[in-house]
Amino acid sequence: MKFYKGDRFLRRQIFDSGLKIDSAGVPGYFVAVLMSDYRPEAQGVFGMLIEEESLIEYMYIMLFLGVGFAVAFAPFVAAWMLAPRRKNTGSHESNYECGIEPYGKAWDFRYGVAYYLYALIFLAFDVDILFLFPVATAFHEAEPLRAIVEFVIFVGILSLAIVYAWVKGVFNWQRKNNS
Amino acid sequence: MDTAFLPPELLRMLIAALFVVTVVFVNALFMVYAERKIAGHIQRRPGPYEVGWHGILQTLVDGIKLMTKELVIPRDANRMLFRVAPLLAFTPVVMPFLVLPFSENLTIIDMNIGLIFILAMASLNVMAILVAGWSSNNKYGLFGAMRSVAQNIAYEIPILLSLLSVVLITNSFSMRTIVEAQISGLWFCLLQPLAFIIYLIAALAETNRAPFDMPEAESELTAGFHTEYSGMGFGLFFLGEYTNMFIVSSVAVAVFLGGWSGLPLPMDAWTGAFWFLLKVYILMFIMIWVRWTYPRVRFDQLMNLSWKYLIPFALLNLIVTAVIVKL
Repeated sequence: MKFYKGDRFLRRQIFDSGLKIDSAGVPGYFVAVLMSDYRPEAQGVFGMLIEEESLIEYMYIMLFLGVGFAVAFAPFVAAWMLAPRRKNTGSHESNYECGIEPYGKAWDFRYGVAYYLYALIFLAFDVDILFLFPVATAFHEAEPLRAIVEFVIFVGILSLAIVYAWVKGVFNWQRKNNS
Repeated sequence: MDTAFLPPELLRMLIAALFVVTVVFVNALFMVYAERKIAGHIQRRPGPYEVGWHGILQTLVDGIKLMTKELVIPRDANRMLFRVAPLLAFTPVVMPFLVLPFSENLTIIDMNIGLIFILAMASLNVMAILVAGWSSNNKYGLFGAMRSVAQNIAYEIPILLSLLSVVLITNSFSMRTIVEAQISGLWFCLLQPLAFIIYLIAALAETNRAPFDMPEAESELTAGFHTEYSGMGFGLFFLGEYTNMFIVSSVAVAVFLGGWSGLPLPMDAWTGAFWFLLKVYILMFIMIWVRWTYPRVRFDQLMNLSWKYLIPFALLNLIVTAVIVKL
């Protein structure tokens, strides 16, 4: 196992990048580490030299997931230790409903069918937009006329989803007549 | 801490994580104070004034208060989901910072799918809101969550389309490439004014802020999806909201407002970061300003604003961009 002398290495890297960190203290050092240039030889983790750059990216993502979770969890630990525990009276743990006794369960209630319709258009639309992402990255390589025509056809068919919903009256919310 | 035997890349990862956590918390502390102070002055009252000089310690004290509150879990709630929802709301909020280009050098990693990564992580927010509203088994919570999901998915499409029309020009999702394309050419808010306006409106809705704060419309839904959350559970949603504001503004700055570019200043390596943060906080000030100026829209108006106006115009903009790029 071959370990790099991390700190010394990073300081040399900062020095080579021409950043001045002597006056800024520890925070300055931290930011300077992030600002100094990447070097391929810097990508040694646990003694392994990882040449695949995307692997390093995955490691960053996993670490950030963990850190995000830990930062979200820590206040709960603090709250668990600091918070008072009250004796459970009858209404202490009941749902909030502006002071009256809760009426039924929220899970039994129904909401407007419009939500489902919007969700359906969204599904039709969003999945199609996903196809436009690779198109956007490769657009400059395509032959001009063909690219434009195909793009317009695709987006045209895509917008039919909205036109259809519009004609069918999904966007007109009808007033309920309860009287 | 003895760092001599830590490999540099691992050390850099840990420093990056610490950096991001610091940015998240400092930003939230500052923004909550700024929001209350600006709101106060817009309404001709001083805002927080008691704790510290001009109430500057107010948020810190509020944070401590939130931590010492009892975590009440309603009897009828789904206990597991109820506990998970705040964690789910906060965890993905940290991720977009990985690819945000604070300055020319200060980017933690520059992924070639940077923009997609941010969008993917930002859209996880909907899940947290739905889980929170559903699990608390509260009518206000459930209706708030339903509205919020409908709103978020409706406004995700204009965001995607307006960002896509920029990507059609740059042909890359890497945040650094997008910013560099603006430094060598025009800022994209000038090349794509329609996309910029659509993005700003949709971003307001995406962060659930007024005039689109349907999920927590307090006059009709008490507090929407976080009605049942007390103490830190509420605190995490709150923290997530302010961090989301920062992310949305950062994406707007990086994609439309030239990122770190600006006039040269005598601050050598820090100039880029200064301009980037200045633009981000100006955008966030505008978001606060809008919140305290306009009344809330009705829910059907909100949905139809997206489906009838923003999306058709965004599609039109996309086609026009595609044609002009190829001419």
